[in-house]
Amino acid sequence: MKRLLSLFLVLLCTVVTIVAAESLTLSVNNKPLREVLTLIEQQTTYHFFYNSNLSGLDKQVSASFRDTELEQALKQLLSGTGITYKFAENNVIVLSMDEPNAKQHSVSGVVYYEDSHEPVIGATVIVKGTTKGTVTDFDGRFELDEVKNGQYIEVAYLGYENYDIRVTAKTTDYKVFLKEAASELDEVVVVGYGAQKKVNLTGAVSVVNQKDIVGRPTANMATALQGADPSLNLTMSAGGPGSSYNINIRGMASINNSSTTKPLVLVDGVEMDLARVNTNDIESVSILKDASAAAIYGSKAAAGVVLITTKSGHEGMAPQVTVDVKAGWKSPTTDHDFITQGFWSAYISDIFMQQHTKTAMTTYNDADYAELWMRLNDDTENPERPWTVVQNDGSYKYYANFDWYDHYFKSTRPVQDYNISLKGGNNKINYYVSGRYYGEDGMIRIDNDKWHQFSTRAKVNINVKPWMHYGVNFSFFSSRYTYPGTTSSREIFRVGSLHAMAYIPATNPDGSYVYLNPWIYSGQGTVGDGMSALLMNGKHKNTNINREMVLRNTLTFDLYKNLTLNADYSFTWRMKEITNRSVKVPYSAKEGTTDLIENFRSVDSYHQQLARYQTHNYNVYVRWNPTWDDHHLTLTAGYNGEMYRYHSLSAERMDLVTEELSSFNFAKGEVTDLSESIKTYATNGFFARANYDWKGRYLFEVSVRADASSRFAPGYRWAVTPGGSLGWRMSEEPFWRPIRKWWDNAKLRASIGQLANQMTGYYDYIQSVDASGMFTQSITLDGATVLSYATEADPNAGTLTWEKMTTYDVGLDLGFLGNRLSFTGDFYIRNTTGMLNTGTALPAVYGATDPKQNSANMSTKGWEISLVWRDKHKVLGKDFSYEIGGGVGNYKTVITKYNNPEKLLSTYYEGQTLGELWGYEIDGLFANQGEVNDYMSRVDPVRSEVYTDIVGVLDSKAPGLHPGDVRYVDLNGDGVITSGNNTVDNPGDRRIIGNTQPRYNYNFHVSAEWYGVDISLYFQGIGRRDWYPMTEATTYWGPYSRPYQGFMAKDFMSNVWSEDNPSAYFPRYRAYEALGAANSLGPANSRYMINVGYLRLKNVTVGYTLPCWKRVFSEFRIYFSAENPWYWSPLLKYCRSIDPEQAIAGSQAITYGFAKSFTFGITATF
Amino acid sequence: MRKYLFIAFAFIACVFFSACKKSGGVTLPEFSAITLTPQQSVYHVGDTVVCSIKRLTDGDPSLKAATYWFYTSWWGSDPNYTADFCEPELVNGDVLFTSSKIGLSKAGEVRIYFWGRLEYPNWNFQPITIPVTLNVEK
Repeated sequence: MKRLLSLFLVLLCTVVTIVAAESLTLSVNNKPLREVLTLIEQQTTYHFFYNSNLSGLDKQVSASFRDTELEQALKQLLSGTGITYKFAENNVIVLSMDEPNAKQHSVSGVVYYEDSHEPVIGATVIVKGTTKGTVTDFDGRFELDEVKNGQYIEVAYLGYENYDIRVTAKTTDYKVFLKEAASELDEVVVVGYGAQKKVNLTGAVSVVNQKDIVGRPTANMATALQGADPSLNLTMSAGGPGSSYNINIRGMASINNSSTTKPLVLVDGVEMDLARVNTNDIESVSILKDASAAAIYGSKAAAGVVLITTKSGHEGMAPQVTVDVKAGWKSPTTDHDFITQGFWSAYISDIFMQQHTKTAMTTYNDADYAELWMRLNDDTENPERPWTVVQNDGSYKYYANFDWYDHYFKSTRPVQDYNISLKGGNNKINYYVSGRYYGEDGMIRIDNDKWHQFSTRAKVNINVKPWMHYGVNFSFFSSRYTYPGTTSSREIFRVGSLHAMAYIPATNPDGSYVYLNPWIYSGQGTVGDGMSALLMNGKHKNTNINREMVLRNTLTFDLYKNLTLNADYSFTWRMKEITNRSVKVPYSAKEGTTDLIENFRSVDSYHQQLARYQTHNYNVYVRWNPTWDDHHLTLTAGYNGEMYRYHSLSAERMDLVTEELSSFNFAKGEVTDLSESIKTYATNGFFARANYDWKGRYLFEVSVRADASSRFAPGYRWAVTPGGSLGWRMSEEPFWRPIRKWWDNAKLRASIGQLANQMTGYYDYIQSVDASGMFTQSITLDGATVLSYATEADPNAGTLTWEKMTTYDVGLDLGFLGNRLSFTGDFYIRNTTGMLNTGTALPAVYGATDPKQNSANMSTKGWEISLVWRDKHKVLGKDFSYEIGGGVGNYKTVITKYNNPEKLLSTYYEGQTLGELWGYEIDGLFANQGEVNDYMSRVDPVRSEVYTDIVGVLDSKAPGLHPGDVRYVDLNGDGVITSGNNTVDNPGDRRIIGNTQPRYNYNFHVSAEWYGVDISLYFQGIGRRDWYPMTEATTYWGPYSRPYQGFMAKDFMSNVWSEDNPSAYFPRYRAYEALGAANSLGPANSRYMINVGYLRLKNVTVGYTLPCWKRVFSEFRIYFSAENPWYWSPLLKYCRSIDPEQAIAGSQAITYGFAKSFTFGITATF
Repeated sequence: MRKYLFIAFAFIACVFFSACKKSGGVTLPEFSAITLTPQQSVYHVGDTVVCSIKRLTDGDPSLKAATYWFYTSWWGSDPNYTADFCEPELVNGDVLFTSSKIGLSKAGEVRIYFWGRLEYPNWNFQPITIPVTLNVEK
């Protein structure tokens, strides 16, 4: 037994020895101890057991082991951490703090800035691994009780590197010197042809926070950038997939070509459309707002520059794959609770129409109204009361409760987004490759429209030689939008609702389509102008395909110390393909019969347009940045050239032999279009810039650019645009030291610069001959065509040249409390001179339109401020970081010169504030006949322009002014309400009632991160923007516009005046009152002008980074993100079916609906 | 305590009953059930009936206009039948609505309705629907 016991003990000891002697081969460099322990677990059979709050676990360790015994390796790794180990059963190693019975005592100290030796106020001092902590007082002093020897105290202050103190029995009073964090000091901002430290910037440059863009469920950069900076005005033209956008920085730079005079958007140095940029590729975004910053880009930078830099690999970066997948749904931002009861749709259109022309809109009599009334609450057809009754002659009579909006549009639609990227690098090469698929269903329900988008980017940088670096950057984008209906998907939103009243269904009992029917209307109303029948027929097909390829090659030579030569060539190729197929559409008005719709939408045709865009861009420049003592100089000089060619072919032919196939090969009818368009331009530019700073205290920058453009005649082609700026970092001055402990940064900036705009037409200086009409324009003699002819355009001024923008900017950058609180403010004036407009008036004998000249000027004054507070604390032993910030900006543009001596209001005039809205004053609605009589004793409505329809249509039920009508104020007291002679001096009874330009662009955001949970809210809005709903804003005006439009809010009548409702918003019911300038609601007026300013929760994201699966993933995050989930606007009071941005997009507010989206996503990095 | 319970109960009862009577913010008139003449338990195709109904209460005095008619369940899909409009008549102090002669042309369980469309201020239109079911045999 003893022998057996001895043998067992020997065996046990051997096993223990073998296990304890397990060896390790590992090499780590500056890795947290916590991660190294995980690596050891992967290599050995051991597992560590410890409190995750143990201080010392986050200590960076470096070590290299080769077949080293585990115990020896542990000793080395844990040395100096205060952590001890103990081998336990089941291959478990228990880690704990040493000196468990160590004495507790008080610790105190003072925290100083390392450079100034000033005390730091508000630094966080915490005992690691515990919740015990404090904050330094006004003298930088801290005190902590009951701290054990061997424990670590962490001192943290935003913008400074953390400092760890190991508590020992010997010291109880510590002096800590915090070193400024390199990331704050060295934050680099991409600027034209280079990068600069943020602290050294002298121009007005905004940096968009990457976190505010990346990961949001947006289709592209355009929607993600909206509201990102108060200077950036970005409005979408519509809410549909692939909708275009308008963008400007600090307002319109010119009154000409506002669509083309937009900021230059450069992605890695190549001009691109924001709509084709993948947000997940973005590393940084800089907005160059003033002329001094943008001057180096010359001819295309007149409206500012947006510089986008995409992600790259870096030296020493292990290959890293990131996968981001999100999916969710979209739904309209607005409410579409429209009338769906046939009774009400017929009743409202009839009473409105009868007040206008006495005749009702429908043909329905009392018995028909009884039929509609009995079906009032039948959401679906009741067999006792069918919605369609076949009359004795076979015709259909309708008593439906049909939801036309729901018939056309979906309330929710899926959206999906897949991203994958790979990046890495070593000292020879670095790379970044990404791919994305984004798809969403459109809101058109019948024959659903769909958007598919694919993009990829590949960036490789190679250090060919120590002095030679080559980079290639390739991107490809492809989108395909398929949609039903006519060529313009927007049409469905307007004509689709016309005559589409709830009492009419979309189909007859036999399934045929409803279009024209003698019972429906007293006139010739055609249901949805045939749009419903056309969509349901399903043969109208449209496809828009966009493909873009950008290839950029860069070569950099390190010629000499601090001297580099850069050369790059980029080629952009874009192709647009549009195909439209339409067919003749059948419908039925009588049982058993079929007719074809006779309108321009119901034709058998095939149309195709192919357009190709090619741009070649070259840059060669040298950069020299010598430094001597405290002097830093950077000189940049170079050449930029660009060649552009656009080529488009368009063809259309009628009568295809089949409806199923779409190709010109099947067309046998008339060729209705065969046209070609070619446009080219070229620019050459030379630029130079010098930056100088002394001790980072006094900063100077000058730049100059000379550009030539083929858009102007020889002799007028060159423009020289200089720019200069200076900055003074007051906080670097010796006298600043006393306050630097709480006021860290103060920089005053001032700049002046000029930019030039070439965005006139391609050949505006050449008198052209328009041959495009030769197909149709011909001289006919005796019935025979004898001659086709082309048209000569009006003569042009050959002296056209560049428009110039000169910008003056003064800015202030401030940082407080360790830069936790930062402020940036700018005030600017931008003078645009030489804008093209009609020049000197020529005598009538000239016989043509007066040619344009560079003769108009305007001036923009504005300001922007932004304020951000960011901080980090320990909460329950974990880092809690948060940020609160916001910005606001405003500007006003005034025309300072314009050739309009009479100051006609029909065009620009000197002294005009851009966007001003002239309109009449309405002081209320007539409450009773007494008020009407009193008014008519002072004002003659018959001679007044605004009452022409009310008093002119004598065949209405109630001609003339009545209680409930709008009361226009006779501002000039002449007894009539007119527009005078439409000049500033005699505007009649009009005055400036509002302004259609945005006022007070603002944004604010809140974000926080703790224990792997992150949350962010991003708000954006406009303080004020006036909108007057024009004639076809039918969902706003309802039957006041057209009595037969089907999309009308259910509670619309509660806003309509009646004797029972005298305080209503809308006047007495009467059709067509908003449809023309001669009608009482047609001209802009103070009562119905609306502020469409808004506050929008642009994005809210909640994410959680899972702590598990660390062996596979370096990051695994799940998140929920909502885009545009909520908004508020004064417009909501009057209309809930129009998004304020829809109103901004156009005065009719008829666009593809704006959408909110909700997505769930996963991001995994490994 | 009882007093308070009683008050609470009375308040709830008031709210309950007033809510029952009101529709769209107005109190609607009340009607009797439809009376058929002749009164039979079973009718046959080809029979004719006359319906009448009595208004029991006037309802909200803000009533601006009212339209009443009788209608049958088999008229809805037949273009030859329309609503049988009727005006109120004062008979022996009662307000009566009487239909035209209605020919029973369908067999089976059929319904005759008394409908009303009552217009109150501010486009507040309220419905009255009172049905009666008949068994009609061939």
